[in-house]
Amino acid sequence: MVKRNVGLVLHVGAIAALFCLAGCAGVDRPRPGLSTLRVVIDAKPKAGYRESASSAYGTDDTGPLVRPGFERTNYKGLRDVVVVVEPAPANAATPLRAELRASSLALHSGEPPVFLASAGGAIAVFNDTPTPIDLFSVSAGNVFDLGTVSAGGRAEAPARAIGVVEMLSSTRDEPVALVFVSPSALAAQGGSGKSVVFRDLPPGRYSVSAWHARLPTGKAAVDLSADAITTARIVVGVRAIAATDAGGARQSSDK
Amino acid sequence: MLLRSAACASAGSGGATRAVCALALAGALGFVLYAAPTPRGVSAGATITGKVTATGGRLPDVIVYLESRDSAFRCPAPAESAQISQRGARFSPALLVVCVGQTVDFLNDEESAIEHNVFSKSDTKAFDLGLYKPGVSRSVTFDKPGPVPLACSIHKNMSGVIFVAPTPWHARVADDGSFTIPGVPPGAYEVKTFQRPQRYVEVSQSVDVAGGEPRDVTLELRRN
Repeated sequence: MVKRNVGLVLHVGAIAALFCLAGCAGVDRPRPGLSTLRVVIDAKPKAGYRESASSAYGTDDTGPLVRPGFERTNYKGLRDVVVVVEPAPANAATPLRAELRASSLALHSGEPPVFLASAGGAIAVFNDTPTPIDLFSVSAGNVFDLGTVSAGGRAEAPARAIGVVEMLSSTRDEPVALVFVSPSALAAQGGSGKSVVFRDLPPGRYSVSAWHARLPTGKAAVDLSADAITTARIVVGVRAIAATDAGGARQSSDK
Repeated sequence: MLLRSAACASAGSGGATRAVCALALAGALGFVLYAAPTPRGVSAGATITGKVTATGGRLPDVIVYLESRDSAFRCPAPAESAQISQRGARFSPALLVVCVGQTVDFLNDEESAIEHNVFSKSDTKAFDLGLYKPGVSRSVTFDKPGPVPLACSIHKNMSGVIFVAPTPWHARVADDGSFTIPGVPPGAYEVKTFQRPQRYVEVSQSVDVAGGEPRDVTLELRRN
């Protein structure tokens, strides 16, 4: 069974990021003079998209098209969204470490799981399987080779550069995991319809983004006031891309 | 099998030399098909041949392309567009190489009433073509070099990539690692690699082309 590192709880000095599984109705108020930011992840398909109970989008003479290639993105159950808040306050100095367990990696098939680190942190691997594994990365700014990690063994590499690290292995051509290296230690993972809470932030303006491996990143600017809880709703999906491209997308040849 | 071609005419860095390239773009069953630029009735220009090797494993799909070291070089926009099929919820070809300035038509050629929503969130070219039905084609012009991963907002397994080459001189590396780039006008270039999926650090090597003198290049892909 694939374990995912959702539900991450981040404690960074006086600042806490909490992953709320059910609404965050009881979000803690901030300490006096500080702010709480609640980020709601709102994964949405394109306007006009028709929801369907079938596992395919569209029908033909035989009924709903239920074929593996036509499997749809599940926006309501979208996982592995990373919420990042910038700038991180000066006291949020502890970079995040991604902790990868070999048993959770897509070593032979499947979608690579997503892990979270921040620049200056680390990408750590624990081989909790009975088989040695080899892991390496050639992603820009984060090139490393962990070599063979024996059963029960550990290895780690620094998370140097901001961006996505594709964890590679000799077991398959595609990545076995993705590590999102955040520019800020104020970051946490969540999913569609859920919230991530960052508590005790100094008042001021922050940039909030919600990253997903396939879908466009949603962004928003948020102003936080002292002694207040502010909710920001961030859209993940193609709606985050501004209209069609400036280079001249066009339509032609309607049937 | 889908087979389409787009021809583009390009002036060399000196402006006097003219090279004509043809891209043959084909895809079947999701495999990458690619044809190197082919000079058409052009005697001038050198041929760059070479070999790509990989340390510690087999080669992924590799494109070798030339980037001019002349900052004033501009690749004239190819006149004809390239096309990508979406039939069977697959981008075909799954890897397409175009020149800067070239337009790509994204045809929804599904046989059933299936909509697609092609988009890219890449730094090279972010776009969203919206939902559209079979029989409709929407287009994007790629004005910057670099990779453009493709996806569909509806179908989670649809993925492909357009590589926008900075010049018309590029080639797909054969299974044995060999490649040939014909019709290269005189100039100073970097020979670079692009892999899909990326399994090694991308490499580059300087090469100067003078007259029609052929050049041979060896590129070694490594993990670090």
